[in-house]
Amino acid sequence: MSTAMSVGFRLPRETSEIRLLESALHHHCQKRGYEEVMVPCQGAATKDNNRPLRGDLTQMMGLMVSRGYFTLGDEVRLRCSGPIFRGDSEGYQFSAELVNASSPQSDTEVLTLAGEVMGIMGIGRATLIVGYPAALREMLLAGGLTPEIASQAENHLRRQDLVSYGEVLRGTELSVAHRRALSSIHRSMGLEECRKFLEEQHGLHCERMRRLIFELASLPEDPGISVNFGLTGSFDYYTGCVFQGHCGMAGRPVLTGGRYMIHEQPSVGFAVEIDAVVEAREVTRSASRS
Amino acid sequence: MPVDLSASLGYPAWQDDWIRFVLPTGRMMKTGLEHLRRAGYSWEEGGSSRRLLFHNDVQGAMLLLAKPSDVLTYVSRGVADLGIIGKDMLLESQTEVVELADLEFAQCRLVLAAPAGSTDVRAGMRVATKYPNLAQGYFSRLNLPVELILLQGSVELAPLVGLADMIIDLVDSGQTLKENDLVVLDTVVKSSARLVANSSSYHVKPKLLSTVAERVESMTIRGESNAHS
Repeated sequence: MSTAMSVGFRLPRETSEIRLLESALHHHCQKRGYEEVMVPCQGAATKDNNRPLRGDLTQMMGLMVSRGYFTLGDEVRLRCSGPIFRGDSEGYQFSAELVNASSPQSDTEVLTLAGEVMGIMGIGRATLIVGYPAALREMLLAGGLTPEIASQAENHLRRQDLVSYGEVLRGTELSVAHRRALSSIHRSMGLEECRKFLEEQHGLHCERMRRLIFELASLPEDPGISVNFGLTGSFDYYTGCVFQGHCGMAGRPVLTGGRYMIHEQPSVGFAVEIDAVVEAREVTRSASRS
Repeated sequence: MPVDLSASLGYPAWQDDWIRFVLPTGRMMKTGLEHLRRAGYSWEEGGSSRRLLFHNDVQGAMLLLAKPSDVLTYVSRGVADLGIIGKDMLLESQTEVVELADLEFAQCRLVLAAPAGSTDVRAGMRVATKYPNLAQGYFSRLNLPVELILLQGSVELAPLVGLADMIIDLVDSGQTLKENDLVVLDTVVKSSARLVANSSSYHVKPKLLSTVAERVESMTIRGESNAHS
């Protein structure tokens, strides 16, 4: 009987989609020179960490780097995938990292790869947004906000509360130019618009962001990247640029990444939330039917 | 260029040029619809029947009507791009959405209130509320341990029948409190209607969402919105 045959022998649709996506992402990153690594799912519980299951792949790769699994005389390109465990929920990630690289070219390489990965996933209109929390901080301080007020403003942007952010600006004495610049800081800009915006900004991190924009604008193909200085990143460990990949109907970023330090090694990388992508595909499919 | 997997997985090409709104049913719906109408979006029969989903093919706009407590779910899960919701609900739910504008209607306060003859705020007292997170935060700031009792409505009743010593609840004119012999002791938070966006929509359709937000907000700044609240 055909009905009996099908029961229990077919993978759920989501599982096969996760596998297909995972395989496509590995294949693409392999072509770009990223070596596959397997990272442990479970570490040892310590007195400070009684939840030994991994919460994201980046930190586990960092652990491998710190334990000398790789020779770090040169840049190391790594990729891996697998389940992750956050609180009571479980997800499935794909991660790509460029370790021991600090140049704007390395940021550009990883951002380009992230853009390509967003294209692979087939999630309708996809957008890659780049921010730079340290540059944002410089701009808030240069705009005339005190460190305390700047910190408040930053927190409002982190919580995406643009109303309270606007109230902080309205309650502060600012020059017309600074008010205009700070009021538009959370709007998405194209690379050319961002380049012009940064011409009027000063500081070490703004200069680094300027160099990154120059590199991105010099690519032979438009990388389809927007800049939003209101983007502050979801993790505290980022030290330079941060980025997120968004698509319609996902409701949350499907890709997150940025520059960070792995045990004193400057690194840049990203993780794709594969289950969020599959969820977005499902909503897209339902919406298209209706 | 990398290969897009859409075709191999059998997905339709998806054009998301539409804008999708969700409004709360109840007292905020009429003013919310008026705001959207003035911003250039309207739906035939929108809000005047029992239907909950409306399309305007000409404007490319969809309207969903949902319970106030569900509005943030529709926005945060990406089903709606934009929604209108009270600041009280936004703070209570701690849902990740982009708060775009204060629409300045449906203004009210979340207050701590008690029976007129019994206004002593003390540790261990029982406080009835529909807002456990905001209440918890309020008493934590006061460093005052209390027992919270979660109710879904008619919170004013709780101290009258001995279920609670005090309440934390929304107050508009204060008439309901007065009629139940309750007095306001403190304001926990001020609330008004907010325009919120799904964070992915905010990044994927920045121009469209900014334009709508600016239109709605500019109308509010002119002070016209309160006439409809």
